[in-house]
Amino acid sequence: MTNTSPSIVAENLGKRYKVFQNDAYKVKQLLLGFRKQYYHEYWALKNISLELKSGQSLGIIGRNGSGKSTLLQILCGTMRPTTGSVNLTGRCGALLELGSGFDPEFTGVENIYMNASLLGLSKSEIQDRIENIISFADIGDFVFEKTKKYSSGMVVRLAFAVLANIDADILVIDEALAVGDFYFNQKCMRYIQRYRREHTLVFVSHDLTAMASVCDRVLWLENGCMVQFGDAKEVLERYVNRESARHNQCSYDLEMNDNKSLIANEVNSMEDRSKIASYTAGDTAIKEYYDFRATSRLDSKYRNDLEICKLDQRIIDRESYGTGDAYISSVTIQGEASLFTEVANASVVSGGSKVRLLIEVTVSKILVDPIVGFILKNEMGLALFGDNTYNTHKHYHPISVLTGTRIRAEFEFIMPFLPTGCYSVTASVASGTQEEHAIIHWLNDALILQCNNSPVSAGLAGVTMLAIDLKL
Amino acid sequence: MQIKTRTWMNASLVTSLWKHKNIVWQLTKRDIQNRYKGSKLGLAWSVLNPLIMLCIYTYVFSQVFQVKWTNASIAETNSTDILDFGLNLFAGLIVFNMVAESLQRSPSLIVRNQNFVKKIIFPLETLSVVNVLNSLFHACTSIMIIMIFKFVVNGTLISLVWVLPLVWLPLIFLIIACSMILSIVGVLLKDTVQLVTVFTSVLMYLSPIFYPTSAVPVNFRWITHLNPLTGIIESTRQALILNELPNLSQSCVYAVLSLLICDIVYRAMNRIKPYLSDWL
Repeated sequence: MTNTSPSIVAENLGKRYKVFQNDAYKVKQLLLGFRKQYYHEYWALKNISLELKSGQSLGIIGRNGSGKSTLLQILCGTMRPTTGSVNLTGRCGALLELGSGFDPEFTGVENIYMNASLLGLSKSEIQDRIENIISFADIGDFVFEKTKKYSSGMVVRLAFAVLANIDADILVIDEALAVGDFYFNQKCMRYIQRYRREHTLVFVSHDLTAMASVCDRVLWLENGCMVQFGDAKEVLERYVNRESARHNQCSYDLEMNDNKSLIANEVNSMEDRSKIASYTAGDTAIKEYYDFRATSRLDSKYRNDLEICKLDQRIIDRESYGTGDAYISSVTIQGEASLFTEVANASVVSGGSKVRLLIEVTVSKILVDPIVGFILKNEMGLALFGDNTYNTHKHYHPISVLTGTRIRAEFEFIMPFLPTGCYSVTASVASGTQEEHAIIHWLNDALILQCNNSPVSAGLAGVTMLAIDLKL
Repeated sequence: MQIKTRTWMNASLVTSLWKHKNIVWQLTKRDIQNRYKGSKLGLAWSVLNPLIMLCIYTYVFSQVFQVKWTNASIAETNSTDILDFGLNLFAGLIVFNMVAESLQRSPSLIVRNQNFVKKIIFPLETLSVVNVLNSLFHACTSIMIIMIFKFVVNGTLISLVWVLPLVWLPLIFLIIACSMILSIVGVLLKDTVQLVTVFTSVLMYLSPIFYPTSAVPVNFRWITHLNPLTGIIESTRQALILNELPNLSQSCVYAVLSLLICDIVYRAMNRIKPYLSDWL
């Protein structure tokens, strides 16, 4: 599919609204319009030209009212541009705001049929996909209820599930994912990431992290005009600079002040702290370092506790696949009792402290050269870090594990400080080498960590800060 | 907005309806179910309602008013046929109700379904078609009532029911066309609902529902003949009550003509469609 033919070409798009003071002016305009103009013009969009090749993904950013949704509506063809033209090549699926095009009186299944046939699928094609759609939406028996009884999250789930299963060549998504819960967003982001490799995507969001991870090209709109259209990274950086300049310092925050006093207290006791324990792994002695602010944080609101969510089996929709030769039977994470957290807490681990991640695999068919690994992802599905057993254990290869046995991989590491939000751990077991392997079992969202407080002031993760000095 | 060479056939109403037959079917089914939704008797109402009406008409007009249906085509009215007036009235009302119901719902069709204009690309003509099919369904149940009624009371079967589809076809196309026009005008002008209500009441008395065409004074008969319902109602009565074969070749010609009108309206509607989202 990835060819270089353009899949979206828009030339000189503009949208003008006629603003009338009241209805009488409308009539006057209709009758006497040739003599005098009874309205004033409002251009919601002006001079937008863009070309998107098949396989590229476009993000549109801008403040509220800058014309993003108008542009999307024009691109999808639900609105006629005043000037210019749009050409789309291929089937276009759109998710414009909430529950687009669902009839509230229809049941979920009926709406699936109607929506999909509007998007050009025949009845038999829909019948082939209906199971996939229902399982993607995963709203249980609600699919047989009328959509007016749905929560807004359910509506989006269903709408997205339909879109994900119609093989659209172009997908247009307008901030709709904001209402989905964490599990579903993870699933959608995974789908979008997969989708954008082969198809064309147009994505509107205020979440710039998501945009950076999804889009190659970004269009920045302001008051209906194009400020910049180009490489995602470039445009996003300029946008952030401009926006933060606009917000201008008003929140040079109290937090900073807090931090300062904490640091001041802390510096004195630094000495004691750096003597801390070391432990051995094999023959190598590794010095263990702690963030110098660690103690002061313990009792403050900056303590980076990551709560391990109790997983409700009913709502969880782990995505899992593999050959079935072995399966991941348990994934647990433990916080270690450390100098700073005296008791190892069963349901909380802390950023900046040592944690142990255990992945247990049950082998149901002889497993050759197993590699067990994990990835920690943030809410947007962005992989923050991960590792596997390959490099440390490749010397033992080839090995084979017999049927019925259990293998356990243990990863011991210092958990980085994480910004507030939800995190998921994906676990996997494969067979082969780093470069070439077959996935035996891949389990998405095996663990969910919820983080409510965070000392991270910038970035996707915080590092262990050994010292901060401000020389005056 | 796929680049396609749209041929003449490709852009026709029939092609569009065939393409969206699933949607038409689903929406129609839903509309019919929804009418009596929540009521205990459900769909039975669509039978009960016309049945009760038929009984009332028969009773009031033949027993209370004791009027006779004087039809020009029969020289001597069969005075023993007490059902006559009620049946004639009912047959006329079936046709009229089908038209009136469809027209009255039309102005709000698009206004009520703004999502279909703003959020997705929806074949808006299906809304009008569904609207008319819905009324047609209820007309059909009423026809069944007449048949059963006549069989029970008179012991006769109406053998000419099969001509009704052909007789009604021109009318059906015509209402679809009107419904499409009204649905768009309804977006622009909120008063359309009121206008249509007034218009249908006027239409009721101008159509030969409570009287045969022959009862209209010759001077004013042109008014009756201007009304497209007149011919349809007369033919319906001919087939159902007099058991005479109506002029079918004429119906065929009208059917083709009205389909043509319908198609032209549909094409015009497609031209206007892109502007709709601005007006809503």
